[in-house]
Parts: sequence; structure tokens; C-alpha cells
Amino acid sequence: MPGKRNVLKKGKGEIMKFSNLGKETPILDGLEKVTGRARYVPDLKMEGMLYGKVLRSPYPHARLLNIDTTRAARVSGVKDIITGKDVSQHRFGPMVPDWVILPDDKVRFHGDEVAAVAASSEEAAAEAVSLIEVEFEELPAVYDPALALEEGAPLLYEEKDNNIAVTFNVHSGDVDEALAGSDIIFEETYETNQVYQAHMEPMAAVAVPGDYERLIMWLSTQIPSMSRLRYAEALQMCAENIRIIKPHVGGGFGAKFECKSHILAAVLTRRTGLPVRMVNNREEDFRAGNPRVPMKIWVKLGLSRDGTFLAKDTRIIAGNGARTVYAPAITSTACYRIDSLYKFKNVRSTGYTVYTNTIPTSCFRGFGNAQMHFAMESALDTICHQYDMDPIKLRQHNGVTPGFTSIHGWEIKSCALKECLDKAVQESNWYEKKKAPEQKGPVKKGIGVAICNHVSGNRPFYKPFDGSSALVRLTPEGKAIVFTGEADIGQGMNTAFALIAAEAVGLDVKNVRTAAVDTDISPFGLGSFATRGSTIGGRAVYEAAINLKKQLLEHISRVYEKETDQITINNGYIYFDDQEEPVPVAEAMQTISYTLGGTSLVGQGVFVPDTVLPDENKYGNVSPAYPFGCHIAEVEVDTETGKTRLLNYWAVHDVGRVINKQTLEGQVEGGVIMGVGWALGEDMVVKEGVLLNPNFHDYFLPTAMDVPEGHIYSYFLESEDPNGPFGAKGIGEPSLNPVPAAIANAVFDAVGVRVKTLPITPEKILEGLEPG
Amino acid sequence: MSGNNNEQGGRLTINFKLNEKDYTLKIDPDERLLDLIRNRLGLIGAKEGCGMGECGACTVIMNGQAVNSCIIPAARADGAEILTVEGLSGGMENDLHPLQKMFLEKGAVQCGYCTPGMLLSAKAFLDQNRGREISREQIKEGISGNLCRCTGYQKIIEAIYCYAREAERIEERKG
Amino acid sequence: MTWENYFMPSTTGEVLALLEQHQGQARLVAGGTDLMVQHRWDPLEVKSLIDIGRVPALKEIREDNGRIYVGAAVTHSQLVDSALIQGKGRVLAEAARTVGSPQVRNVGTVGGNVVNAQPAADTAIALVALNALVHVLSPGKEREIPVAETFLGPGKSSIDPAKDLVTAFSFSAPDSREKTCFVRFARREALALPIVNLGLWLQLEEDGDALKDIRIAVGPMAVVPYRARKTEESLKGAVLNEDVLKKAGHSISEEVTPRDSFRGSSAFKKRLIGVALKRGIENALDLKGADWHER
Repeated sequence: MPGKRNVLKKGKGEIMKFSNLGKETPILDGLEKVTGRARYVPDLKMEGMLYGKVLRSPYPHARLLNIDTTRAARVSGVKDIITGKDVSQHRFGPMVPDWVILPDDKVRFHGDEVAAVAASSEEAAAEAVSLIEVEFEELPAVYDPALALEEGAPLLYEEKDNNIAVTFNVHSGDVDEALAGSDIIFEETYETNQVYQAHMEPMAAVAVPGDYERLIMWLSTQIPSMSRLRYAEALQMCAENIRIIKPHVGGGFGAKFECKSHILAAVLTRRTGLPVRMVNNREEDFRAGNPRVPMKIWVKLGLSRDGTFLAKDTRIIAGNGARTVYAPAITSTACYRIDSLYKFKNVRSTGYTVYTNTIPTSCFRGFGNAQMHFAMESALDTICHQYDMDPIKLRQHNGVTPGFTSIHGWEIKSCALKECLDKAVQESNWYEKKKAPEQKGPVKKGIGVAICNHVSGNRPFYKPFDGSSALVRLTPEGKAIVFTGEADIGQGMNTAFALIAAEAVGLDVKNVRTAAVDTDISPFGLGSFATRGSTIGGRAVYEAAINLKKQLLEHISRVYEKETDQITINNGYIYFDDQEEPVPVAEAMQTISYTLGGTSLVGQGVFVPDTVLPDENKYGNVSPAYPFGCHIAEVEVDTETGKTRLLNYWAVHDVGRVINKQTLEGQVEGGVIMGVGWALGEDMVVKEGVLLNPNFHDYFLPTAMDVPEGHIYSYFLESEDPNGPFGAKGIGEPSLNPVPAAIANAVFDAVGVRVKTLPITPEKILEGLEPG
Repeated sequence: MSGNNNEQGGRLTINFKLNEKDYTLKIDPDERLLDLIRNRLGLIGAKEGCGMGECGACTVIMNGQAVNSCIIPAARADGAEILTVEGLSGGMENDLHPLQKMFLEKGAVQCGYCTPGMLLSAKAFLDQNRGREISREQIKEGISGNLCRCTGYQKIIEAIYCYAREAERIEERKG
Repeated sequence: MTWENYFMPSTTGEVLALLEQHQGQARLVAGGTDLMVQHRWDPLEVKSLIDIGRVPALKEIREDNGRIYVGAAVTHSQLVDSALIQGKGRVLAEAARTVGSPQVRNVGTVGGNVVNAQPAADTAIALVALNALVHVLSPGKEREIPVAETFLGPGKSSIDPAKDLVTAFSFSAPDSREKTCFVRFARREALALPIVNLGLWLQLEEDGDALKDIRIAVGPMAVVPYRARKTEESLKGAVLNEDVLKKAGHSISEEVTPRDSFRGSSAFKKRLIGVALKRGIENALDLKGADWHER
């Protein structure tokens, strides 16, 4: 039984010792996962459930002349078929109203939804889909965003004059003047490609008719609460009549926001009065998912002779795909989020999010900041090489520091960026390795560095607000349940919340769990994106826990007749100053509950960070906390085959406070390998608008045999952010942001070949070694 | 000849053992083993990740070997012994197979979708290498047919490695 | 359309009887890993499947009278684990090990791999390098065909799975002057098709280190597994030093005419096959000492 001495006492300069935080805590929902009992949306079975299947466009751009569903309707088991004629043509969308439920005029990408069938079996649904007869009139199409910008390019949306969905502009300071005064000017173009999240569970929905007019949707989603609002708009329903339940989710990485297939399942359910299951097969998930926004990034940097950054000028052309999901927000992020990693004095960015007749693009871990990091960190490395500057010192010199307010008004409160660099350099033996002698043989080793920033929450993502709320309920059995609308998609969020609640109240985390998100019960939660879960969601949980603790102390005081300042709660036990024997919380709660008509105690907490929507000059602090990191990659390149292998990797992250060491490491290791896949081989190969590799044998995500021969070393520094719960910031996206650049820089160090377009393939390396 | 009793409508009767239990079932001749497990037996641990034998989420152990159940005809289960993730533990919380315990302890589980298949590939690999010293490189090959997008494989490899060493130590103590 | 019957006979006699009985309406299946996948996207128009995986005679690996016999239903895993194949058919064991993943190797068979007739099928490349024969039984006749000759084009085999039963493959057991090796380059280390692969068999002179004979099978360089005969000729009689190997690499790069494909451009494949040959010979003769093996 732990003693009182482990108790956290604030404000007395004592070293914080935590009972629950900072340890390697296995995820609390691991038991059902290892036993195969965890239920994901594709595992749900309901009485009378129908199987939904979508007819997808075989053309990248075509007019819909006629759809005949007569033959399809005759297939035994078919209960409903819908086309554009059967649904409202009102427009809606997450950012731009360019979505319809099903089109009645045009299809705009190969894979676009044309019709949907609900039948009593998968086979019947598939057969019916194959029998729907559609008359298309093919239209000229455009696939390259740069070409789509040109005069005379085929227009995706004829009501517009061009194919630009959204333009982003920012100019702070005076870039032209600064460039004129720069000793060093560097200019280069980089390209990041379209890659697929490859969550192992494909996109999935089961829609079920609820009582009265209500609709229930079981969704594999990152945004349960927000989905409810969007789908209400799509279905022209009152949001209160939609109940969304999120069971276990098999990964998302940004893909699982608003999905057409969810909406189609909902429509079919409302029409048939039966549950409808709509689960992508893997090919569909590739062809009609939400892959990463591909970007062409032009960068111009101006520096003074001593390496001080004076100006940054960038232009980005980003591929939106055929309709808008979140690409415009991703483009704007690419334009200006990295401006708060360094002490830039003058910046200008223009970003075009351009329609093309290809798969609609959207969020993927890094959200535009990852793409820009590849460009920026590669550019800095190139400058260092050209001008014989130390890449570590250059970053130390220009990197933001605690208390700094960036050019866009971002308030960097906690920041251990410098320490991250120092630690990475130290652990990797950077300087010794850089001094290494000339290597013999065809295989060359190299080492490269990249740093990163990110946000922990992003105010402009959802116009009305950013923030979170939570409830923590303490039952008469002494068990606590956290209710939050924030979504655990496999990253360990629920466990983190339980740890925060346990720590804040003084419970043993074994007696705390986080409830599954059910929008009928859970508070509103914006969801898992912008690396906001730990900080914003977690802080709300913390506040709720503190509120609960206050109530608990008052009731203990009342029932046990002690002053509240004589009471301490730690690790599930209540200690009274004047008594040796502690009282278990469970025992106390039972007694308290009997005096209150059998009730539980419920703490409520809200966290609304004092962030703002940027003004017309894009100025304003958008996040309550900013995480930072430094990565160093050690690679070996085979100059005969062009193959690059990762040998070792060091990742140091400023996370504010370690909530769960094990899940932090897991995020880093997962992010690094995901970045390795992106950097070295993953590519969605699209030809004439058609994806050529919608499968796992030709889409080269890493297997267990593709991991480093050595180790991925991860380190976590605690800068104790004032806004985060116990000081915590996030790691989900920072763990990926620097990876492709660290690898590109290491490859350059190894063989002197600079690859500026992802992925870094063997062909590009061989071409760089022997041009032509 | 077993499994060839073609009843009317082409339905096949097969007999097999799954998770130590005997079954006699009527299946369709073109049914997949994955469908038998998930739809007829209601065991949801084995997942459909790709339907093409390329991701390993559907892995089960058949006659001691790891196989992708999405590309095995269910008819072939006739006379076979099959182990799914549900059969690894005794069924109750306290009865976890030490490999499952090690996965939990080492943080080898994140979203969990690849986990059932991963555990079975690991088990098949370890069973086939019993008594031998196992390296991390060999483990990587052993689970190379199971894709994971969350973990980067590090903690999975570590969990299997630690389990193998522990099992070795237990063997040494016994013998 | 899907099949109505799934037979699992236990002797070759039963297999042949079923084939005869169903008169082309049934087809043989071994591991089924290719078939089950193809069927999903392009449903097979066949009434019955005859699974040969339960015929013990077809799952044997044995040596008999100076020849190694590998049953048609032998799985890739069996090949990898077989001490006999590791010792006397190294190129085949190494090739089998590169296929797919453990799950695929446990089920996929060498017979299925050959009849599926893809020009870069790893075990097929190895068998061609070994100059292997395929033993075929059809109702009424028995024949032996060089494996290389069964490949007519991508996916096209001279063996008809509705009529012909492949019983085994065989190749002559090597003597001490014969060495073999398999090399493969792929985009990643598992669950990958090859960018290029190379099966090598070579025979040194009785006395000295000059090369007496060599067979180099490569894929995917043509619509069928390709023998680099020009390069083979240029190497015969040579002592295999670094210079000769370099020239050989160039020679094979020049000789092959691969097409641009998804996994690699023609130029890239030509480049890689030269490296593969060089490394293959080094590995077969253990020239570099350490266990190199590019996987």
C-alpha cells in the first residue's frame, strides 16, 4: 500500500512524483484486443442487417446521362437501390459545399459514387451493382494540379471559372526587402506524393434505424461528435436525432473523417427501415478513401552570413482531388505552421488547393506540416552543405525558445527544442559519425537530422470553437469512468485519459476506465486530429477530475467529520492527517453514496484554451501548446542497387509531460516506420486518373522485415506546458513530421544524392549517382 | 474420401477441430475459411484486411501452420485442426496465454486490428522453432506476413523475443 | 459463377479418375493461393475443383538414382525446411524462401507456381536454372517436359489443369563441382513480387577454377522465364575473378530486353540484373566469405 509521501503537492517546489503518470502502462483496453473480443464496426451483426455496396464511376470525368436499375432490382435479396434521382441534390461539405449524397449530373473521379444497393447478402449486393446500367458521356479530365491551374484546363465545377478550390495567402514582414538584404539566398522546389493511410481496418459503417425519427450509426471514425453535425446537414435531419457510437477503431491516421459511405448507409437505412452495413473492401479503400494531399512546394530562403533566417517565401500547389474534404486547411497549414518552428522575421506564402479528377485528398498524420517539413528540413540541409554550416548549430540558432511569440503570434509557452537537439546529437554520436572516414565498398552509411514542430489543437479547424469537456463519474464501488467525446482510434487515448483522471483524483488507474464514445451520452468532442487529444481532451478530463475530487473531499469531510485540509487521496486510498489507517476510496464511496440516495459523484470539466481565430493577416495564437522534436536517421545506401536501409534512428520529443511512456514510444516507433514507408517507397501510382496499385502487393508499406537493423531509440523531454494536463503536449503527428527529411538528409550524407521528390526510390538514387 | 459428400445444391459436410472443439458443419463448396470462422462460428478475431492473402489480418493456425484464411477454401478444413485467437487463452481473463500477456506487457498492441493474426503467426513461428535459439531477425521473418500500421513492429518483435527467452529459460529450468 | 464441388482425393489414381469423369469441367488446384485471389476478381467458370493437397505421393521430396524429386503439392515452406533441398538444390530453397510470406509459403505449392506460369515466378526461375523436368500424368499418358518449355506466356502454361496432373519436378543431384544460388531484388523484404530475380547453376572444371558450364535463368525479362544464353556462353571456360564478373554483369544487362513495368523501368531492371548476376556468382562460390545474401 503506497504511503502518503507519494502524494503530489503543488506549488511547494517539491519534485513531482506521480503515482500513475510517467510509467509504462499497458493500454487498458488491451485485453479484449489480444483475445479477439474487441468489436470493430465490420464485426457488428444485427438482426435483418442488409449489406450495402456502391457502384463507382469507371471514368475520371463524365456526365451521367442515364441510370437504369431495372435489372439490378430483380436480383433476389435486393431491398433498395438509390441513385442521384432518389436523393436531395443539396450541397454540403466539411469545408466547401461541393459534396452531394449521389450526383445526378456528373462524376468527377474514377471511383466516385454513382449508386448504392442494399441487399440481404454481400453477393446479392455485388451482383446487383454489376447489373446497374449507366450511360456515361466521357469528358476531358485533368490529373495534375499544376496543369489544372492552366488556362483552358477542363473544369470540374462548371459554375466556377477555374479549378482553384481555395487560395491561401499570408505575408508578414517584408519578404522582398529581407531577401534583398540577405547574404545567402536559396531556392528549390520539392514534391511530396500522394500516400495512403493503410489503416488495417477499412472504412466502415453500420447504420441502424432508431426509435421514432432517430438514426443510429456505428462508425469507424475519428470524429464522432463532428460527424453527427455533418451528417445531419447531409441528411437534412436534426443533429439531435442522430446517435453515433464509436466502438474500437482499427487505426485512422487522418482518413476517417467524413465518409460518403457513411452517408449512403444512413440513407439506405432510413429508406428500408433495416440496419445497413457498408464496409469498404481494400481496393475501395484505396480508390475512394482520403489519401494525403500531394504538394509541389517552391521554397526561397534568405539568410544572413551568420546563418540567421531573414526571409521565407513559399508557394504551394496542392491537389484537392475531385471534391473538398480538408485539403484547403492542409494547404494553409503547410504554408505557415512551420513559421513557428523557427524565428522567422519575414514570411510570405501562397497556397493553391486545386481540383483534379482524382481521389479526393484529406488529412493524414502531419496535415500539411509533414509535407512542408520535408521541403524545409531538406532545404536547410542543402544550405548547410553548400555554405559549410553546421546543421545542428543552424537549427539551435534559429529555433524558437520558451516564451517566444512567433511571427504569426503563436505563443510558445513550453519549449524544449534546444534540449531535443542536444539529446539527439548526444545519443546518436552525431559528430563522431559525421567525422567518419571515407567508406570502401558499394554500401555507404550516412546520417541526417531534421527537427519539427506541430500544434496540440488547432483553433481554426472548426470555426465555432476549440476545446473539450469531460465528465468523470465515481461509482459507489469506487470505480471511475471518464466520459469524453474525444476519439481513441488505437493510439491509447482512453488509457491516457484514465491515467490523467486517476492521477488528478488520487485513484489507482486499475479502477478507472474511459467509456466508449456514444453521442447520446458522451460530451461533445471535436475528435482526433491536430494532435489535440492529450492536451485539449486530456485537460478537460483533468478539470473534470479536479471537480470530482473537490466534491469527493467535501463528502468525505462530511461523512468522516474531518477538515478537508486534513484529507489526502492517493492511489485509491484516503489518508487522514490524524489517523494511521487509510480508508479505501471504494469503502468511502459506498458510505457516501448511501447518504445520497445511492448516487455516484460526477465531476464536470471544461477546457477552452484562450486561442483565437487568426485575423485577416493570419495572426493569432491558434494552439494552447506546441510540441517539438528532433530526429536523427542513420542509413546505408547500396550504390549498386540504389536501395536504402535504415540502420538506426533517434527520436527526441518535447512532450511537456509523459503521461504513458509505453504509448509514447509506440507512437514514435509507428510514426518513424510510417515515415520510412513514405520516404522510401510508398506511392499511389495514378495514370490517367486511375489508381494502378489499389492493393498491398504493389503499395509498398513496410513489413516487419523492413524495419531498421538496429533500433529506434526514443526519448521524451518534459517541458511542463502550463496548459496541458500535468503539462502534457501531444506526439501523434510530430512523430512523423521530420522522418522523410531526416532520411533524405541521411541519404545525401551517404552518397551525395539529393532527392527532392518523394518517395526516395532506388531509381532516383542511381540516377543521381550516374545521371543518364 | 472425406469432404466430398455433395448434398443437393452443392452443400458439403465437413468435420474439423477448432480450438479443441469438434465440429460438423455444412458449408458451401466455394466458401472461404475466413467466412466459416467469422460468419458460421461467430468468431470475430480473424479480420478481413484485404481478402487477398496480403496483410495477414485473417491469419489462423491450421495443422500447426500459419495460413491466410481468406484464401483457404473452407472445404479444406475437413479433417484439420484449427486454432484461432479465441483458442489461445482459456477464454477467461485470468487464463491468458503467456504470449498474449507479453504482448500486453510490452505495448505490442495499439489499435488491435492486426493483433489476432499477429499473435497466431508468432505462435506458429515459435512452435516451429521450439528448442532453438531465436534471433530478432528470425522473428521479423516469422511475422513478415502480418502488416501493422500502428506500432512500427518494434514492440511486437520485442514481445515475441522476450517470450521466447522466457520460454527458453523455463525449458532450461525443467531440463 | 462459383464451383459446386470441391473434391479432396487421396491418391493419384483418384485424381485421374476425377479428371476423366468430369471431362474438362473440373480443374486441379494445389495451394490455391493464386486461384482463390484470381477468382474474386475474375470468377472461374468451372464446376468442380480437385484439391491435390491430400495425396501423399505428391508431397514427397526424395532423392532417387541421382535425381531429386519434388512432388507437385510440395509447399514453399517444405522446400525451405528440407535439408535435402538446402543441400542439393540451394537455388530452389532460396527461391522458395522469398515468396510472399510465411502464410503464403505454408500453402502455396511449387506445382501451382509453375502452372500459374508467371515469367518471374521465383521457384520456376530456380527450376529452370536447375534444368528441371516436370512429370505430367494425364488419363492415358505419362510424359516428362523441361520446365522451361511449359511456359507459353504470362499466365499461359502448356499444362492444362483440367486435363493434366503434374506429379513432380525432378533435377539431377549435383556433384561437388556444381554450385547454385538465387538472387532477388524487390521493393521491400516480404510480401513483394520481384523487380528482378535470378536463378544460377554453375559447374566448375574438375581441376582448377575455370567455369565448365553455367545456366542463368532470369525474370521478369520476357513473357516467359528467360535463359541468358549469350552471357552463359561468354562465361564458359573463364576463371571467375572480379573483372570477369564485372563484364558478365554488363553482358547480361545488354542481353536482356525487359519492358517497363509497375515494379521497375526497363533501364532499372537491366541495371539490377547485372548486379544480381555478379552477386549471385560471388555468393554461389562464396567469394566474399561472409553470408551476404541480398533478400
